[in-house]
Amino acid sequence: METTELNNNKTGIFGMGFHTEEVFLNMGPQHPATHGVLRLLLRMDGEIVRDAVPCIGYLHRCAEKIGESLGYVQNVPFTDRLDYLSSMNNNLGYCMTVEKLLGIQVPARAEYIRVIMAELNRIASHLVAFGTYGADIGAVTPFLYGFREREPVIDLFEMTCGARLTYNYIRIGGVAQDIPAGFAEKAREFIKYFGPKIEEYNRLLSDNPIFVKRTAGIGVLPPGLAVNYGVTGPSLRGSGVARDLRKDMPYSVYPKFDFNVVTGKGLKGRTGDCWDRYIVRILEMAESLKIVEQALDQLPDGEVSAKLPRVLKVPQGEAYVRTETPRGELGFYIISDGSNKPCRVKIRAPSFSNLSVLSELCRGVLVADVVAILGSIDIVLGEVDR
Amino acid sequence: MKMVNAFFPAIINLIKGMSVTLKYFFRPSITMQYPDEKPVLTERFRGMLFNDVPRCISCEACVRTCPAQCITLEAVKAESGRKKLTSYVVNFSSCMYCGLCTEACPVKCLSMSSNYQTTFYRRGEVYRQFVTDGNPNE
Repeated sequence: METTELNNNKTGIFGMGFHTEEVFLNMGPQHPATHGVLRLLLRMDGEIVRDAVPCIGYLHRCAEKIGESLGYVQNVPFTDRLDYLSSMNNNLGYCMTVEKLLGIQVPARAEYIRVIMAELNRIASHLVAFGTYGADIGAVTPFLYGFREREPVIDLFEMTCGARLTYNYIRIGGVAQDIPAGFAEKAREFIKYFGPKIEEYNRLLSDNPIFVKRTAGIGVLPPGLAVNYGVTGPSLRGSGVARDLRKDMPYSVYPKFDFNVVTGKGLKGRTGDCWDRYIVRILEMAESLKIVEQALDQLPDGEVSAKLPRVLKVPQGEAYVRTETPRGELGFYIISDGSNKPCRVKIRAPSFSNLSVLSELCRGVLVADVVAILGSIDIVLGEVDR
Repeated sequence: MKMVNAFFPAIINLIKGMSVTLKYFFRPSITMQYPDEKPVLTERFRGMLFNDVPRCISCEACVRTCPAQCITLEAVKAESGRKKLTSYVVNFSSCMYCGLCTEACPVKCLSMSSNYQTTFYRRGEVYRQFVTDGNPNE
């Protein structure tokens, strides 16, 4: 951690060699910058944070227990509610796990539709991350811009599956229904519309010196520490580690697409700082656009769902599948006892692991920087608490 | 001096950012004035559940498939030997609009309507009864 003049233990505040009494500061769970209901316990020495302990569980809805008490198909809508900003990606992870247990093959068209949906959802999710991060730092305009561009994506989802947030679209064996007429044209229209917007975001926020001052060099996450804490997704790639499950352990039809893994390079400050984590998300949206475009070009005809029995009985066994969601590596571990309900559902939530590194990052920073660091990790509390 | 040096680039970049917003200032507004303007819903929109009672065969497929267990139905055997619906209640406070019931319905009498304004005056109204005295409600 960077040692500034202020937080140097030897000199103390203003170099006068004395320390103020430590104060416990409670941040959240209603704090607007904690992205939901996260409570942070801060041990403060004046303005300096000595320790930050995340206190979670305010949004615990027994997602794993519900998984054990409901049938395999009935569980899909509950996976929507884990990371509610990227429901499609959650659906995909869960369905792929059950498909692995069943040993069924998903039709090619369904695979392409799944990838299109997952990548569009990644864009929508990163747009919220971009918008709220700006709002956290003190720039309200990007928030409105992010949500404006998210709207066409949500409209695309609405015309495909009927819902705007909890889609319940990707199902075991394929997808719920084929994409409607006019979807491909609308999606291409969006790609054309959204491409130049990324440059606009950079002008608006990424290169803004006030924003850079608030984020560059703050909360530096060294690659080793990130790997030790199990940090994944853009937060890990921001530290310069090129790890992306879509490339490293390709699933679905991702090997057929050409895209790059974006990593942080420390352009404004040091590699792995808040600005790097932020810019990785911005650049990843352009990569997702590339994938959507290629998938639309290659979209084959055919069935969108494999034939499944009416009552789904899954053979005995266990399966673990990990997928790359906008927040990192989402893993579903399902044990089946041969009945129509899972015996155990374990969810490896990326936000939960990413949040665990927060105490390390917040040691010795100012309170205002805690907000910047928390926003750059981009957690969704629905997933942290499950 | 450091602050003064940082001041001018900040102002220049601020103007750069403002130019982006200025561009949109002169463009037509995209905000929808909601109660006066209503959004155009798509065909597949999943609003409140609707049961076309005369077509319902009381097979209970929707009851079994509902993840939130928000549907309850009662039926009696009519003289013709077919089941006749006497009560069909949907608890809209626990319905999560997933649409699994409409997919499970063998006669497709269940559908998700385009009504998204799910507000009620009294608590009891969240239980919507579709049948009274064997006849479908309006």
